[in-house]
Amino acid sequence: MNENILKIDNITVKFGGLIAVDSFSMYINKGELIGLIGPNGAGKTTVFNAITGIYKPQSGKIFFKGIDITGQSPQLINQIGIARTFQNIRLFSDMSVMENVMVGQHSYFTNGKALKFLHKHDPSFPKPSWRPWLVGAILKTPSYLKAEKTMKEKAFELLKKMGLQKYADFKASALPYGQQRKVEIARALATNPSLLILDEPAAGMNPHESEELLETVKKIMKEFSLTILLIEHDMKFVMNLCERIYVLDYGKLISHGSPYEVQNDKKVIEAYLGDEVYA
Amino acid sequence: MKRIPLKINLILTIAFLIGIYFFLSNVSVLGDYWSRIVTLVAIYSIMAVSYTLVNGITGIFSLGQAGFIAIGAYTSALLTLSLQQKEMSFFIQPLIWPLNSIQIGFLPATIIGGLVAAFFAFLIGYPSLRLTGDYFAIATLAFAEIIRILIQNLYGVTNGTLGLKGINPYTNVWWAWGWLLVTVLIIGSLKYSSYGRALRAISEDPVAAKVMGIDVFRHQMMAFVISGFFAGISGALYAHWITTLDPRPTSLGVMLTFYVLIMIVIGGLGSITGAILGAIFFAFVSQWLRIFESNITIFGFTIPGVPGMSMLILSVLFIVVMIFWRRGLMGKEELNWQKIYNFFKKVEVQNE
Repeated sequence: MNENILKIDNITVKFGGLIAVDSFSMYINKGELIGLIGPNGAGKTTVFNAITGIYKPQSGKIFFKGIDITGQSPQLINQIGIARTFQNIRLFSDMSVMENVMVGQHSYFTNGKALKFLHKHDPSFPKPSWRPWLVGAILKTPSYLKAEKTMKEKAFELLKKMGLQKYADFKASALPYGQQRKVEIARALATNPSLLILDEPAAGMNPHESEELLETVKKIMKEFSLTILLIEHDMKFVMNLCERIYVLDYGKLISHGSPYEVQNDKKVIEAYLGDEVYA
Repeated sequence: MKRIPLKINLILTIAFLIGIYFFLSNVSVLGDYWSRIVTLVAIYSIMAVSYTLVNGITGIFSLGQAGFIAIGAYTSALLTLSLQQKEMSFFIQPLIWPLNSIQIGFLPATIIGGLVAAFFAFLIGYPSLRLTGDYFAIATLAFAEIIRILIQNLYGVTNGTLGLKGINPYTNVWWAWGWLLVTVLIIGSLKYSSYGRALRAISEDPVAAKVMGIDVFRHQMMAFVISGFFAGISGALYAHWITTLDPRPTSLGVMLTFYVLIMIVIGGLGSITGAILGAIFFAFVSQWLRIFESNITIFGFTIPGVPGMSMLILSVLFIVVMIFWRRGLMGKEELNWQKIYNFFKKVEVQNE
């Protein structure tokens, strides 16, 4: 039996009278690469925001590794293993590329709450112990300095893997667009996720850049044994990469299957191109 | 530009500290008045550095700093006042037990003042940090005002509008500058740690910080409480510098918050050295500008002094600084030897 890493069970997200996501369900198995597509305004990003805890669904449940995470805070959801990037890049633009990645590692120092949560739901996870990190950070104790050094080395390694090492000391806002996307992915990877959620990673990239990104995504997926869920409008990108695809339209799931199945689904063609009668 | 090696950096810093030490040990040469101003500079600097941790580094706009300064000032003053002085001052309502029977040293009183202020920062931060932006600013402003009004009306604890008099003038150059060194070391060390990175990330984009696993509320709270502690310390030093305390809005009320705000905005929000530069600027300029409040005679003409004129000129100066340095003198950066070196190099190149 395949182990579901993420299972979404009939979630509904409403904004006032507008139903952005309407009883949507999906599952992701460990090690899969899943695409979520749909026309503009279909509710794809809302699904992502519901998974990562930015929005709380009005009904339905979200399970991560079998643990109910519905309505938990974004930081807790990140700490237990879901990382994401944003559609419109949200780097910390006044900080260097290196610092951006190191921010991703910070929660590792203070993850007592996440460990407590995991331990409560599944006793096989280790019990958290209180560590005086703040005092250590201010007094610069040897154990803190050692941790800081490890963080730096790990961050640099990540940048190297993303081919960004030469930009390490640059301000994040000084980088070209395509590289900023990669920094965002590196920052998300720094939080040690098991599920990575990419919101339109190839948006605004030229074909060459998006080709390069495709290779990077494949590479990091293997290297970090990740499961990836992504939104993308670049159909070539999605069809080349994804094993299964979910199609959303007006907040509803209209199709689901392999790229080939989805491509030939009448409903999908209708959603993207319009009804045949009117065409 | 050439990079200054770490060794030279260290030597320069030590030389700089020794220079400050000699300056402070010979400060009495400047006369009583100016050595008091030098002490005030350090007190203002502590206020500014603690304030910039919240408003600059963490990026939450608090207007409650004067409340914490007032709490630190009153707590420490009540602890160091002599028993006779307490009996003499509290003639409307006697001071409550146990404050009426204890008198402790300056250092423990200062630290207790800081801790009480930090505790109040926690109490105020807990509900208000759920708000963001302007709403948070208004909430903290209101809380600071509540503290001031409480001080004004709790005759049994604070002597109300009569204020506290005859506080021992313990604060000298060494206490003030020593505490400034401690403040800068601790807040500077915090800024350049993993927590500092998290705080800066929060100031830039709280949502992205959350998604990166940072507990935004707890980190903001941490910054707020640490800032409250040092605000309390600065209040304690201020109380023993000025020797009388009263709860007027212009002494320990809203005006003080805005003075400190001016200091950190001039220095650059988020910069510790900038905050100190801002405090130095504010302390000296506001003293120099006092000459405009008395009569000035130029070539036989006498310009009559107008009370309040110094504040007017200060405001104009403030606007000028904001026009030429949009992000304050330092922006978010720190002043270091590399910067000074680069600056002189630039001047040199331009002169050639």
